[in-house]
Amino acid sequence: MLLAVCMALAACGKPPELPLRVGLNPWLGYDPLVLARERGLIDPANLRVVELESSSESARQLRNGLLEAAGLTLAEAIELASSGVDIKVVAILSLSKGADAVVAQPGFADAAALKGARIGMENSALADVMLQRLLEAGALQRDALSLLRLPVVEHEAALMRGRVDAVITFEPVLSSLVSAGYRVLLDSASTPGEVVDVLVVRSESLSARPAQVRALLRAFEDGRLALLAQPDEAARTLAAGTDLDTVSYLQALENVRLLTLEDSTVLLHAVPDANMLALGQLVSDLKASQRIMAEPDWARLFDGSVAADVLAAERIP
Amino acid sequence: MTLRPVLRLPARTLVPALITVVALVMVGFDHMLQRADHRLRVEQEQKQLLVERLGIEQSAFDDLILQNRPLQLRRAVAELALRPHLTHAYLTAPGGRIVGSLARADLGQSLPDVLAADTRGGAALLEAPRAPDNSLSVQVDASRTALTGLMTLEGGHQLLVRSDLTQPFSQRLHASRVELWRHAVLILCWSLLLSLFLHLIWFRRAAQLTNAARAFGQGRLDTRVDLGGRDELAEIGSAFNDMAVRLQAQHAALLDSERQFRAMFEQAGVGVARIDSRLGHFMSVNKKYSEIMGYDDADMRRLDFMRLTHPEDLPANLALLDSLKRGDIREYSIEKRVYHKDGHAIWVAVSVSPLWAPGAVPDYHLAVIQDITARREAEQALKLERNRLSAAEHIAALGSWEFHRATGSGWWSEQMYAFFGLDPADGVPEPEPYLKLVHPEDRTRVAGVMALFVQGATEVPVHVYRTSPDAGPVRHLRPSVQTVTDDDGGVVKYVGTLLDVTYQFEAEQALRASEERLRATLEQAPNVAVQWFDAQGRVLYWNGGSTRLYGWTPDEAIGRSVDNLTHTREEADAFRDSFAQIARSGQSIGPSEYLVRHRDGSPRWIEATLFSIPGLDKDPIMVCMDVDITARHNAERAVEQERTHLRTLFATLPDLVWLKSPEGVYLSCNRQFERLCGRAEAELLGRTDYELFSKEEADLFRSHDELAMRTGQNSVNEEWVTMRETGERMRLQTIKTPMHDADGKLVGVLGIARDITEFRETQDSLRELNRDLEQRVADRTQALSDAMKELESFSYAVSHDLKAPLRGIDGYSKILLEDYGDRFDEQGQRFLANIRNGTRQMHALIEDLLAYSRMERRSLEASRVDLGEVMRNVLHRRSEEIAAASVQIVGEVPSITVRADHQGVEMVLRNLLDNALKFSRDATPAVVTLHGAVRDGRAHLSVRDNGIGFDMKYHERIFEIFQRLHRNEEFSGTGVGLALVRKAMQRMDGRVWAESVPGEGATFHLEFPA
Repeated sequence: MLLAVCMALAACGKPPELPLRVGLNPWLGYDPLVLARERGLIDPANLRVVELESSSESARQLRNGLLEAAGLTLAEAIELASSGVDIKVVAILSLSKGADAVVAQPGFADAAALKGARIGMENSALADVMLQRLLEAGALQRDALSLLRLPVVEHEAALMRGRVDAVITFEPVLSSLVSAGYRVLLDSASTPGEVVDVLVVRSESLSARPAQVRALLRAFEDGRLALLAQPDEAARTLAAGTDLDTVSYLQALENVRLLTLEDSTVLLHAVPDANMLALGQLVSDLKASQRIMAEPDWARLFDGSVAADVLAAERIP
Repeated sequence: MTLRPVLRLPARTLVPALITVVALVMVGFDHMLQRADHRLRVEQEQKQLLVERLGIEQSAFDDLILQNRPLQLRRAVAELALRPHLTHAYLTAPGGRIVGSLARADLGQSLPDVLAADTRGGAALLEAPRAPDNSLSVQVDASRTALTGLMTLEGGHQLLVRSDLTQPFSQRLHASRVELWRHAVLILCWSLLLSLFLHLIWFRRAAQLTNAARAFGQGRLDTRVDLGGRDELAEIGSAFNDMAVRLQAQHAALLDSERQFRAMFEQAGVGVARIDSRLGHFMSVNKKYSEIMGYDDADMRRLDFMRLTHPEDLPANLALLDSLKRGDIREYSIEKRVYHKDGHAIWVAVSVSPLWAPGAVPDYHLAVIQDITARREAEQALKLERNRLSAAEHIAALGSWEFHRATGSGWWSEQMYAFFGLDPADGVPEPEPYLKLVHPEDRTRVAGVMALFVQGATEVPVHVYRTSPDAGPVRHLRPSVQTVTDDDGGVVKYVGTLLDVTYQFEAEQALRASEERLRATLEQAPNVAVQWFDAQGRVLYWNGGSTRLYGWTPDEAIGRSVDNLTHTREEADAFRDSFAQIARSGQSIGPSEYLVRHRDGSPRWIEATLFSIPGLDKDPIMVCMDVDITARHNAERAVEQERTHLRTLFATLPDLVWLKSPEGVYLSCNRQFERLCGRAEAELLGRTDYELFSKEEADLFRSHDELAMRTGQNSVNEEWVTMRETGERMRLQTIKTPMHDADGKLVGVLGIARDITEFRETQDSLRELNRDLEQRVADRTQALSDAMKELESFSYAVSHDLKAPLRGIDGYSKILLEDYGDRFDEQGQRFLANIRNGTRQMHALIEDLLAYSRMERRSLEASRVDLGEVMRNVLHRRSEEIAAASVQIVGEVPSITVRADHQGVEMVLRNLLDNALKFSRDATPAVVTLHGAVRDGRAHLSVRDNGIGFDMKYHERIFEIFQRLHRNEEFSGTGVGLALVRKAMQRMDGRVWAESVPGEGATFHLEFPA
């Protein structure tokens, strides 16, 4: 009879599992995941890539539980963790080397010229970090600028219609603005290690659905490899989601350094002393813009084990 | 398929297994039933969710299209992927080009191309029905695995979505399965527990009992069992022990008894033999048997009983043995002759008993014999003597008897038995049965004599006595007794005879009876007075009838003269003359009427006949037989008087009255009837209706007469007639009554008719007026009812239609609060909260309105409702609110059963309780007092609170719909609750009212019909 009970319990099995939802804003650096989806490298029952309007939307839905994972900038990840959401950074995806920038109307020559100007920017930690750089570059006080919080998809329209004088934006909008004749006053090439994009997973999802998280990392890596293998063809697919043509898309992509899974793993293990990541600067910027109160527990925030597992699985034929 | 393997299982396995299997089957069956329900529910939920979601997105999409913001539009479509089960979403521009999708590769493609290439069920979207402008259509696809939605947007854009149903269905199914397995595990645990319990309590002890019974069966008679407890098993155990003790004792006794019987067999004073019942061989014989038969033991065993039995006695013996073997008799005894070894016949008495069990095959029987040769010979001699004596007694009708005082026994000759109809074989009866054979009237005397016998009296009285009628024809017996004494003169026995003297006695008796009968006839004649007079007119004989007629007793009358009896002197003389005439002529006179006088002086009319009979001394005796006819005289006079009264009444009645024979011939009529016919009564009598009225009228009258006669009841009719005398036409109400004589024979039909012309006219006009009035009332009622129905369906429909948009407002505001809550500032949040609050209030109001409307429309059931039980349920349901508000509930409603609508009663009590809780909110402590009782056969119930109360001038207002005494901010509510209570009570034929003083609480009373 006990045997019957055990069999009965075994027969219960697990409930049907929903796909892991990963949210991405229109940042170009996340496109390997989009490519993986378009190319069918992802099992839709296992993983669902959701493209959202802005990173703040990603953060909000991650917090609300509508997403299990999201691509965020490191600054946003730190802010989210500081607000008490239990998340893990499981991979470092890309470094921006000019893909984030302050773009102004042609009349503004440099950062200092922006005094009294209206600045359109996302309501995000990264935007605040870039703002901090802008204030430093132009030796401006924060109240010298009039800030207008806009999602990235509205940046181009706001600038064109003259609602703002400058925007703090990123690719692919950046390329689009540059080609339209707007002027880059400051970009992330000048702030190495600060504009970093990471993959964030809710801790509970990581412990409950590790296989899906591994599949997520695998998908990004597969997408990245596919992008590098046939960049033109990939650009044709991906440019459709931006307002760029294939050439501009590939040019914009030049400004992003996509990290390999190995690099990501190495970096994660080196945290918080990795030289490639300007964590100290980032934290002080966030504190300055009152985004966080204290430095986060890095060991708790970064989790390189999943990436290591994926790598280990790859090496076994 | 056989149940045998199952029956081999021990009960400790079988019982829990059966319970488990049954419970599991039921749980499984329930799960199967729920499966279909789950699918339907999942479809509805998902559809609702999708509709709400798309509804929300619609305006956002429209805005983006109008503002021409393709990038945002693209992202907005891509964001739909957040919905967990949404698999496809396409936004198409006019022309079918995709401008938004979950996949980037689809952008710019033509929708049909994309869908054609899709392998994940997107093809179903091609078949999705196209909705009209600005509308949204969501449908379950044909395979029921997905929902397809289509929304028309600004500028000819369309949004097509597909949402998967299999996943949510699987989730729901999984949850249901988990529930199923949890039930199953619970059942298995219970079964385990039950088996353990059964094993400990029952089966373990049953096994002990089985082992003990088995040991006992194997002969260990000292086996005992100790089961403990006091249940049935323990009782069985105890009974087993009792049985074991008893059987052990019986076994010991049996052994002992067997030894005794063997000794008895060998030493018995009678011959005993065991004989083979089939062949007749002697199997074993005792010593006495061998002695009687003259053979030794070994010889006997070689013999059979047929060879030893006398040939004349053998057939009877064999027949009896056959009966014994067939089981017809249980044993038999006979006397028969057997041959001794030396060849001479000896008489023996044989008793035979079977040794086989009843119903078994006969094997051996036991024969017990006694040598009775000497007795038989003596008996033969004695019998001869007796026969001679008996013949002599029979001829003389004389019986002889003896009574032995010492033993109380006796002896009777055969004739004695014949007297009393007894069988000599039964022997002399005991004193008590003997007395029963004696005539009941003689028993005391005979018993007295018998008592003297017992006492040993030397002198005994002798009386003739009779046998009882129960023992055949009554005989008169004359006894004689002699005593036989011993040397001391004490009586040793009584000997005597009984002589049958019935014939002499009966002859004497017949003569005496004849005389007695004659005298009794005269004495008992009820109305006939008989007197005998001598020639001088003095009374010689005076019977009972005479005493009643004249008042003199026989003792007083005898010797009195006739003068004292007649009314006048003349009549006395006439009486005497009559006597003289009879003496002369020798002929009787009368019957003639005379007036005579009673002893108290009152006159009496008699009818008398006079004649003479010869006396003892040859002087004739005058006999007068007279009958009292005073009552008849008086009755005749009274009848004459009554006839006169009736005729007067008959003549002066205002109604028409007549009497007809059954054949329709007029026998009588009154003055009014004469006026109708225009003829005098004398002319009418002897005629029929056909001679007086037209053929039609006569037929009608006759048929009414016949109806009354046939049914035996009054026949009431109305008919128009014309008065012959005045020519006046009038309407008559006629009652025809069959008339019967004292024997119930029909003697005619009595008719009574009355003029009702005027009465009927008044009645007709009244009826007309009434009909008119009723029609007007019916018309107005119909109009009112139509208006009410229209009003009811209007309010019902309005309430229903209001709910749908309200649900939308509620749903969207909820989504707004959940998904966009963080985008609102504090004021926005407050506004949203106000919207939701307003929605809730409106929902409550509509629900109340619906309830009110339902209460008006619904047909109520009259079932037996226990007010106490309903109140308890309502309190239970409100227990959390009561505890949260710290309200004390005082008293309770006792169990009172009324006939009412259960839902209605519950709604009424719930509303009153909610009302009390609401308005006593600010009291410290808040107390709600309940009370229920039956008064004058009506159930009364009250709910009292110590809240704010109200002014009694608003008493009527509070029961009206939408009437509220307080602002919503003070006490929330819809103003429907109490109106609903009153409506429900009205519909249940009950009553509600309230009593209150402001600030001192309110009491609401309910009264239900009995």
